Amino acid sequence: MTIVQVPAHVPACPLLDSKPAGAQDLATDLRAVTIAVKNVQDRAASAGAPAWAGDAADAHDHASTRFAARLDAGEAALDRAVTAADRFGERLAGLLGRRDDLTVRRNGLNDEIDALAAEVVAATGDDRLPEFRQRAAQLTARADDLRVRIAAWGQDEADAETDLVAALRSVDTTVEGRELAADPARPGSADLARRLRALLGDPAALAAWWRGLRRAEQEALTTEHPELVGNAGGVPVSDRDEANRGELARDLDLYAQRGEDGQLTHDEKRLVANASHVHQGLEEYRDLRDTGTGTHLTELIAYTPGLHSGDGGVAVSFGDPDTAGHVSVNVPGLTTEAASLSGNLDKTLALHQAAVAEDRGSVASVHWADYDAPSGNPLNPFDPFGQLDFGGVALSDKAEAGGERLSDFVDGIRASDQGAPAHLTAIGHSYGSTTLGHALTGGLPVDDAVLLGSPGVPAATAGELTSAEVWVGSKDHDPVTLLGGVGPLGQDPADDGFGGTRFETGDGALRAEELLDNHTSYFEGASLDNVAHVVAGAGGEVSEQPPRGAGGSAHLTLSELLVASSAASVGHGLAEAGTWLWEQTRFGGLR
Amino acid sequence: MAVILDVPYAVLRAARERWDLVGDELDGAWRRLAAASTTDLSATVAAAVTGFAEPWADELKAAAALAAGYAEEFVFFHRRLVVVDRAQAERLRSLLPWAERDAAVREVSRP
Repeated sequence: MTIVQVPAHVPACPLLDSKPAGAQDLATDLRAVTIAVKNVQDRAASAGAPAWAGDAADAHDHASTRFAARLDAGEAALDRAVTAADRFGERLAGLLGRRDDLTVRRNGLNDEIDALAAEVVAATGDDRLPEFRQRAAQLTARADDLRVRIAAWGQDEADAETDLVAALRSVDTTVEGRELAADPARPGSADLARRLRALLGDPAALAAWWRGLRRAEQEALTTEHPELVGNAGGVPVSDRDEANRGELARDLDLYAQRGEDGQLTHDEKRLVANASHVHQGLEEYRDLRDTGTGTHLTELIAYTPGLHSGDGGVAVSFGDPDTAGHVSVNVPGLTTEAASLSGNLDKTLALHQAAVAEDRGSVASVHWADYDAPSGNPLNPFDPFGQLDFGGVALSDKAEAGGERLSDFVDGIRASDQGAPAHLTAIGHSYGSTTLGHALTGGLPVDDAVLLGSPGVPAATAGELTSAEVWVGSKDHDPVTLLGGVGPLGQDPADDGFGGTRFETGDGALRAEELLDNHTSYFEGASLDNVAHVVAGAGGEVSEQPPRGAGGSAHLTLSELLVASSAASVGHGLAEAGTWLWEQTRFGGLR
Repeated sequence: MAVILDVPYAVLRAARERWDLVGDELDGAWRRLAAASTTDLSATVAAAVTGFAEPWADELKAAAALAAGYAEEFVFFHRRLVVVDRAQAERLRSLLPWAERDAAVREVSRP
């Protein structure tokens, strides 16, 4: 009897006991607490005796001095816990990636083992015996190697857990906290903060400096100055996310307490409302995971709840721009504020999913709303806030200022990019396209620029606007796009003389009540598909649409569109047309 | 005789608000720490998190209560600090910023 020793199946790599997103959530909680304790400790220390104060007895009797010293123990313990939790999460993410790799190899190997076993059973003679034995020996060696690797993976998981538990247990009493606080090796953050501030305008230098810091130093800075770290171009996006989520959670905690006491000021009420909107926006997508790392798919890259005339600023990414091969930055338009986050993220997610489906590499899709866009709804004559904001501010000034902030943001994610430079696409919708246009004229470092539903850009041609590839999505029945060239915001990029590539979006419905939908539906249908092609670097697959006026073709002017759309829908349509006419006189300055 | 802590009203008011804010900030902090997320963590890790969080949440809660108590010691009436006796005035002085540590505590005749 002839025997071929076919190896047994390699058992599956176990599941992680702790998940990367779980470690992230723990770290966020610990970070929020640390931020709060450091705020208080700093406040108490600034009101306490200075370090050089000579009379120790006096200092001891001084409440703020005692308070600051008391909290220092907790601060030291929390610093260690946050650092350990962060490290744990990173190790888990790495383990998940290794597990995926081991699983692929194990499945392939087991398939080969099954195939060999089937061939051996089916063999009718001994003529293939040497081949079978050779293959069996090779499979056995590979199986043994894989078992060793899986065992090592299991040990690494156990080590990661052991290290976190040891770190937490090392500071789980106040006595241990005091001992740690007195440790001269404890990382201080004052000098680091000064250096960070000095580098804020130089994201490339900041990125290099940040990489050179120890993890404990990075964490100490993050919890001491989350508002700096979270919004600093050049700091890795995942670190900015950690700082911003910690600050967000701390804001919610503090202002919930003050709200219960009825102590919120007007500004604090706006700030906590903005924070709540950001929190809700993130919560909607908290179950989404990065398939490679198991971490939350969303990254909170900017969080400025008190800026922009109180509207607040925020940037959220689906995917990590630092590691993605294709990155898009979506700039929304009018009425952009923290409160509109939830309603806007779905568009960015739709684009993200469409770009991922192109299967041309990893994708990160950013919703960037960290500029002072005109507030309120200028299309609604009954919205006094919208009218006020429009009445008092030169529209192009806000777009120009927003363009500068956008440039800073993009410079930051360029600087923190890992590996080969990402293919980067900037997308501006409506007034956001004007904002993007100002950034482009300043040399925004992107590969592609997409202008959607644009009321105008500050250049006569695509070539004058940027050296990047310019793509234009503009529906003929979107009234906002008909402001280009006649309104105050600049040239219509869909015009034949502008250049660039106008892609297929359809014209949109002609009925008056649909006009607004025409303006807000660029992240759907053929338009979305085309933007996704651009984002994924598949510009050759974009379906084009002739520019306005190409070959002498006719299109409706804004006035003609209003008349035609009103005629197309009686009654309700007239009201809509009236709104647009009003909007035209205010927004377009076409009296 | 009445006792006066010779410090401007604005400084006293700011001190009260500072202690009140400290109490609120620590209140939010200990509540979050006491409920720190252990979702999607192993039982061993979750137990260690709880073991870490409990004593520090207690410590922060105690500090929050202390700060809130300090804030409540500042009682005002018609923009004047209500002080019962010299001992209380000196205690309130110790709650002020270090720069006010030499503020005078004086006894004055009632008008």
